[in-house]
Amino acid sequence: MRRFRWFALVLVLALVAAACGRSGSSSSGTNSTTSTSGADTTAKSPNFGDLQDVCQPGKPSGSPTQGVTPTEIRVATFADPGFAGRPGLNQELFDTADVFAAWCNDRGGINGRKIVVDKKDSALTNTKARMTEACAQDFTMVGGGSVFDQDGVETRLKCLLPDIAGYVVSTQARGADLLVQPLPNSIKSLGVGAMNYMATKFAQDKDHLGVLTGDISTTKIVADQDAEAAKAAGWKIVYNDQYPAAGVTDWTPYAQGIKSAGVKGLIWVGEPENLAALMKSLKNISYKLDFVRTDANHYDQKLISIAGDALSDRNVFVQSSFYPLEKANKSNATGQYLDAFKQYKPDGKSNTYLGLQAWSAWLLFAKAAKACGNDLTRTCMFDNAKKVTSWTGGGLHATTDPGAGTSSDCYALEQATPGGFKLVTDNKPNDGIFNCTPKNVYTLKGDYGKGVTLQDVGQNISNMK
Amino acid sequence: MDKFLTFTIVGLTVASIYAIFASGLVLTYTTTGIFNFAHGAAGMLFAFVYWQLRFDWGWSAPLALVVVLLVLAPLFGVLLELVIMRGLQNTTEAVKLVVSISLLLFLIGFAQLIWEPGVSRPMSTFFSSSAPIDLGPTTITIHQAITIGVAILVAVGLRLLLTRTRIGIAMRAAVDDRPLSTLNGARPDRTSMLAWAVGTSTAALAGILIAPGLALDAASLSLLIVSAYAAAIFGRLRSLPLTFLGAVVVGLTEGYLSGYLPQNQFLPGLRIASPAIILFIVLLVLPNPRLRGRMTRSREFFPMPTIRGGLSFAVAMVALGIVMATTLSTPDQLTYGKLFSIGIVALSLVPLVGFAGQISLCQLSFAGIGAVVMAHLGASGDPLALLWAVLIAAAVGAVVALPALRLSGIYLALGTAAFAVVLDRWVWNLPKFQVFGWFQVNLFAQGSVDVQPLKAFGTTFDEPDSQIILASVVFALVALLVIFIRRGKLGRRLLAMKDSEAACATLGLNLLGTKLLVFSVSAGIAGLGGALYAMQLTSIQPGNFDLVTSLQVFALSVVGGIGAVGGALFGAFSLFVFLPLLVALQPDLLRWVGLLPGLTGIGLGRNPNGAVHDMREGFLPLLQYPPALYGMVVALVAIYVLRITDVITNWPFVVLMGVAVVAATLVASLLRPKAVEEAAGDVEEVVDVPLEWRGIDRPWTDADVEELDRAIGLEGVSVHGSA
Repeated sequence: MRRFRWFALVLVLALVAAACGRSGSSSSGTNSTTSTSGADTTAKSPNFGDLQDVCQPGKPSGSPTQGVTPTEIRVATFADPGFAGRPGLNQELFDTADVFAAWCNDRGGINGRKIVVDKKDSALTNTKARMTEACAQDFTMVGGGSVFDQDGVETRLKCLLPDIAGYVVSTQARGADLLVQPLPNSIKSLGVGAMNYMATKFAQDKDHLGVLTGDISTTKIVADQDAEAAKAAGWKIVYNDQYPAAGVTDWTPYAQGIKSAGVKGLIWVGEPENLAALMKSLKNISYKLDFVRTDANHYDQKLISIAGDALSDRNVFVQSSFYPLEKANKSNATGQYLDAFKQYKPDGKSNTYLGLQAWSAWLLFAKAAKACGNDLTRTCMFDNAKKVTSWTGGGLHATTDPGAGTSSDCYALEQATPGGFKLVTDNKPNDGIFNCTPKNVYTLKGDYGKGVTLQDVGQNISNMK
Repeated sequence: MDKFLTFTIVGLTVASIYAIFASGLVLTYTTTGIFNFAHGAAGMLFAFVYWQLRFDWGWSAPLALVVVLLVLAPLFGVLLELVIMRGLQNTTEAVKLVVSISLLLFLIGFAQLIWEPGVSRPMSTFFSSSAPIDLGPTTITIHQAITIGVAILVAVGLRLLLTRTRIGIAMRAAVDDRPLSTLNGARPDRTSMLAWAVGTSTAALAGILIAPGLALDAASLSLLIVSAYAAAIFGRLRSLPLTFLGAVVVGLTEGYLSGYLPQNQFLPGLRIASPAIILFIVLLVLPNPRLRGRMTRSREFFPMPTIRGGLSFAVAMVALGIVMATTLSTPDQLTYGKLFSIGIVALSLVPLVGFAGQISLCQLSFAGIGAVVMAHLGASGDPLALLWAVLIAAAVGAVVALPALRLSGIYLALGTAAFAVVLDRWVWNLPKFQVFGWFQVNLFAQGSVDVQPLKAFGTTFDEPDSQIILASVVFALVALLVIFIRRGKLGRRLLAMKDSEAACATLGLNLLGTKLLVFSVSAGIAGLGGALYAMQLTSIQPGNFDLVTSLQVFALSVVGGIGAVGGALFGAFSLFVFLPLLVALQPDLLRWVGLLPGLTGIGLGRNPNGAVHDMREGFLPLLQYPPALYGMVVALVAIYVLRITDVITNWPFVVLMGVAVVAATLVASLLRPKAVEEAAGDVEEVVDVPLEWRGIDRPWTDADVEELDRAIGLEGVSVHGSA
């Protein structure tokens, strides 16, 4: 009867295969989440931070466009937790979507329409397939991002799906049309506030700057831009190297390279674990750097826990636009964000800047959609979002300009110390904890690629509904 | 001078870890004949276990070390030997390789299941709080000193084990001549078990020493140790002293390269690719292994494909393509449509591995070359780009084959893996460059490149449905080509070469030309598959063509049965249809699904002929009873018409299809008349069951007796009283 074993297998395969149906309503890889109102005892304020009436009830009617019904708004959120190489990648984007939808629906939704999140797990290689699904069912994209977002951007523009992005990474997607970013990651300008700070504080290091980054295109572009801006500001780069992002067994060679080149200040573009390892190697060969400048993704407890006392006499600065999580309390927006997680998804991933950024995107979406009233169309929502030129996410972060999509001219600095992150206060803050001046933005001159436009895919904005 | 000293220390530390690691590898290879690709994964697994005990549960370091190195790791090694490796005797190198590659994939999946990836697991070095030892111009940390010291201890310990202990001498005896040592009363099973226990222990030791420098990550930790293979090859997988020397060469090269390589945008990848490059060079200059005269008998057997069978397979594939293109939704077409293009890459393995017995682990790298050609030369949708993809991939294949001409078996596998690693870590990430000022090469543009849809036969293949149909047609044609090769002169030559290179050489067969040809053909097919894959992806990244995916395609195709075109389909189907489907249906299963490819591969040791062989046997009655077959085809078409007219949805469609196939086969096996059954005997004779299997695979007949007599020259002698 051995041969019948294979029938059984074929049959199982066949049954399984049937799930991916054109007419089947449950399309693969999609999870729909509706409001799951937790048992809450606190008063439900519709406000968030300094934003008034973010979500509120109403008497909606009609279906003005795809994804909008009298009772709900279907919204797509992208992330990559299904990537087998690293299960759970950027799960915080899904968690934030769940929490915001629950928080907002608990307060009546967007003018009475409940938010329904279609979680699109692009699992690294399936961005295009998931985007095609989003094109067919959703109103817009909010608060998500895919590591290989260049794979989906043409499909998105062809079906005129707007994106209020959690994050964008490839130049094609960063410069694309129909995109609003709450904290713009522009391909044309760069925030240089932290380097301005270093220039005044460590003026003696001007001729001893180093740049170190991973050998993958996304980090290399950022490092090239940083180097261009630093040169324009009069820094002399004496060391410019790349480390294999695939893994480094021993960081001593890089530490030694930095020492041999006489580097005093370092621009680092990479991941916190690797920076921590480099710091330990620098400590082992007893070499001191005056400063290391890194980006917001290094606001991560891993940096502290791995590097430990190697941070004690090496100044590692993290440039960020966020109000620090360690300063969260009941009365500010950051505290409200953490409370929402506590109430609606206590085991969710909340302690990341990516989550905060996605939350800011959701707030921007809610604000833009609410202003459309009952007649919620993509054109109206997108135009409203584009009109926002001064935005703090209710107080989650520094003032940005989502409408123009240029880099923020505000920054805050966190210093990584063995005891944790400490806010730097001697950078002359003039807007809360942030230092804001047009000098903090550098307009890039080099060619770093360009974004995909509607014209590239043969579409026109006038076709959007 | 201090710079030189620093890099010498760095190099020696790395060398020590490679040496510890490679010595375990050599030990297991020499005593059991199995090159354990999962050796690095074992090191990774126990680095995680050590982290769990030492840092998560807060055990003291000595206790954790003793438990891991002296209890858990040896136990795991013994278990491996008992459950998996023992079943691998009398199988080909390909099968052995697949089992250990599958074990590697399984262990990565297993570690990810237990220790959730992406979570920080800081692992401090030994005595990290003590100050480094001052050596005057430079310093050495205690961890580095310990690493170097441990390597020396391992070297001395292994030397003592192999020369001063009874079991060690038995191990060496088993290496020299296994049957002879068995005759003398040695027990090879016991020595194998000991070798696995000691080998796993050294892997664990190396893993624990290397992990603090790296982020504790399952996949990178398992594969990074590929570098240590170069050291093992120095010793030709036999000599421990040479292995240690090799480790020092590789380690110091890596150390000095990182110190003295100019800072240049072309070179950072060279540093991590250097062990693979050294591996490649060592394989090239290694003294030529003797052609083995002894024929290795394997349990594998693949029947000759018939023309009718091949044509039916081709038609079925095109039909499947059309069904997929017309019934699946666009997102599902995008997800599952890769079946055929990856299937073509898997098909490229059939002539190379299945027929010629040459192992290549870099087929996806050839596919990557085809994809890059497609992206750059096919910018206007010119179908000639497909031809270029085939030609250029074939040319590169011929270049890679050059070292392969001197290598075989495991050496060839390592050489091709090294080629894939050099591409992954270095070449794919190169920025734009000029070739002798003639033309510009911009491989993946340091990120991703867009691929324009193909324009041919008056249509533009810019939609997933038309792409699936195109890919299925090409897949069918390539399958026919492969069957044609198998049935032709070349196929017989390849099989002869697989059976015995020495015999072929003696008979005057041009081994060189044959190997070169089959490598080029195979690389060309892979290039074609890669080009079509690129067209379906519309934007390609180096990550689409990496070694790990290559290993998966290789492993699952061998599981399917690499000697037949169906095996290739099986490999592509499992990887690009079945597994994604499972995850789509049950997202919670994601982390469990990672275990599946590994598990199926490990099971291969029990059934080296592959799954497709069994499946084919299941359907045999159907092929022998035409009325049932035709009835089934009619029923399938009818069901398809119902689906296409939207009378039924996909669920009933698939269920009905399954019912039709099962019912037809049942009917066929019940109604098959006796005459057909007798004819079936003839069919099997055409298929040609090897002489030694007669009486086992089918009943022994008088005709067989005669044939046996003829074969051994006993004509006319009375046997069993017959004649």
